[in-house]
Amino acid sequence: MIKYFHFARIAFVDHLSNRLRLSTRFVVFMLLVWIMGAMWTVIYKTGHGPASITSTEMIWYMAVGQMMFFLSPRLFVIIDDDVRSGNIGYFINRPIPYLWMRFAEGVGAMSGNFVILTTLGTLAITLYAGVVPPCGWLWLGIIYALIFMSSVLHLLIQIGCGLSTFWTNDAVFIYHSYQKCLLLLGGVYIPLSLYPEQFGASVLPYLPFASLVGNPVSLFFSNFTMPLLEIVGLQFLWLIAVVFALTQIFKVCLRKVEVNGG
Amino acid sequence: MGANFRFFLALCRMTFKSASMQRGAMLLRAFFSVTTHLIYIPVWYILFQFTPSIDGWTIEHALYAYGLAIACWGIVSLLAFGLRTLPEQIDHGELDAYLTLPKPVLLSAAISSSRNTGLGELLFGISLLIFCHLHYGASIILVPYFLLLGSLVFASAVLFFATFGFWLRQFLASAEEIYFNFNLMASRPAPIFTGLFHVLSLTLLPVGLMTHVPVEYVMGHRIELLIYSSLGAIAYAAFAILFFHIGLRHYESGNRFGVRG
Repeated sequence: MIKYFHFARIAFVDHLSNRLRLSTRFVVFMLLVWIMGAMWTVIYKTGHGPASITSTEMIWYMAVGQMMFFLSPRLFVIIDDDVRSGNIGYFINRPIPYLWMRFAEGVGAMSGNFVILTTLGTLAITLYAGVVPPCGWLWLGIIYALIFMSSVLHLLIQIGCGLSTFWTNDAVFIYHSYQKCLLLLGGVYIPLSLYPEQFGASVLPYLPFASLVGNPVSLFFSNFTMPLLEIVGLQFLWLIAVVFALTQIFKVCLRKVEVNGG
Repeated sequence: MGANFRFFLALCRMTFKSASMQRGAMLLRAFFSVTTHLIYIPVWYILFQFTPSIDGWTIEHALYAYGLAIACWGIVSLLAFGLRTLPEQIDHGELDAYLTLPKPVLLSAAISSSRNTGLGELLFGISLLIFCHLHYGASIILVPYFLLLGSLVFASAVLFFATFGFWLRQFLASAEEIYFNFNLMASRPAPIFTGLFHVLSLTLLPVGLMTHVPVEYVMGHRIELLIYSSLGAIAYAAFAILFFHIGLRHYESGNRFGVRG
């Protein structure tokens, strides 16, 4: 395991040393937080906001929901590049599994983002919302821990999107499809509890998309009914399922690797 | 000017021809692209189920803005994908080849590549606008003009942000994030942009000129808005091109080590 730790550590240091990338990401994150917050503020001001959720709770929900996207690096782009350039042929000869090497790097970079976004981000969101998180600091810590787990799951799914390059020669459009599904079914823009029944509101919390954003971030709401243990259990269940699927897919991918020349 | 325009058309033809060589892949990507955007539409329906409007913006305006934003993204991806990869071209010293040509560097760099998912995005955007016309009665007479205007604004914004690549190394990932979110912001309702952000949406991040003003025009038929936005788009394009040429002076050629075979 120590080799994975070192891959993660190097990626962490490398990620934090690129200040331009970090600051751009932070500015774009805050812009999106502001946009989503402004949209819901207008809805609440016109008296159409959901009665069960306060305006402050909604702003924190939107902000931390967006944070999940900004925590993980764009790992699918790296894998896509490895596959298309043929570099994967060199990586699979090394005495470390390619898939988990990239995953360790992803977790390292993600931890860098996590440090920045949970400190500076929390400060900026508090300033923007005008109040500290309504659920209290302890629950905020729990939500952040769950969001970290969500980002790990998100990384694994990104690896899956990256591996699709073996068949599609371009992972970007597969990732975009997944991202749009996440926006719709994960409750990124609208909490899942507000979805009408014809959209399967009772089923959505059990899908992987809800485990990524909707379920953990809904802990901001005072009237949220899903128990914490159930949220954690679902996240672990989906983590195991995705890891298993990835391992199987990668076995198929290895049969497709073709390296010409030298 | 005329020669440059002919060069532009020839480049467009060649780029599109090369992109459409892989017809199967192109159609597959176009299909995925349409499906991807279709998935996103219900988000707006769910949102507008419990609020009739966002300060005057209804589902019709949201879909119209989304259609315009996606179609403009598609046009820029199809015809000027090179603008998006400009930071990478700078990093790899790929502008060297264009600098030796008698034609403008920007034109060659911008139209040197195409992304064929753009076709699906363009078709989806136009279909959404036609849907808005058939279902909500929104006017689509000026859609070609809106697309031209929006694509000019989006391409200029991409150029402006990509130009930072002359000063900042490995800027592509950050730039891609900015382009994507710029387009995302363009599909958000105009009334949420207030105060400083309203000023930003009409100047440095001109998402307002790209989608908000055309939608405002469709809502209120205020011709002066369209004139101002056209002038604004031209000014922004001129500013982006000027900024690119300032950046080009800092270009240090392809002096990185490497072997090309």
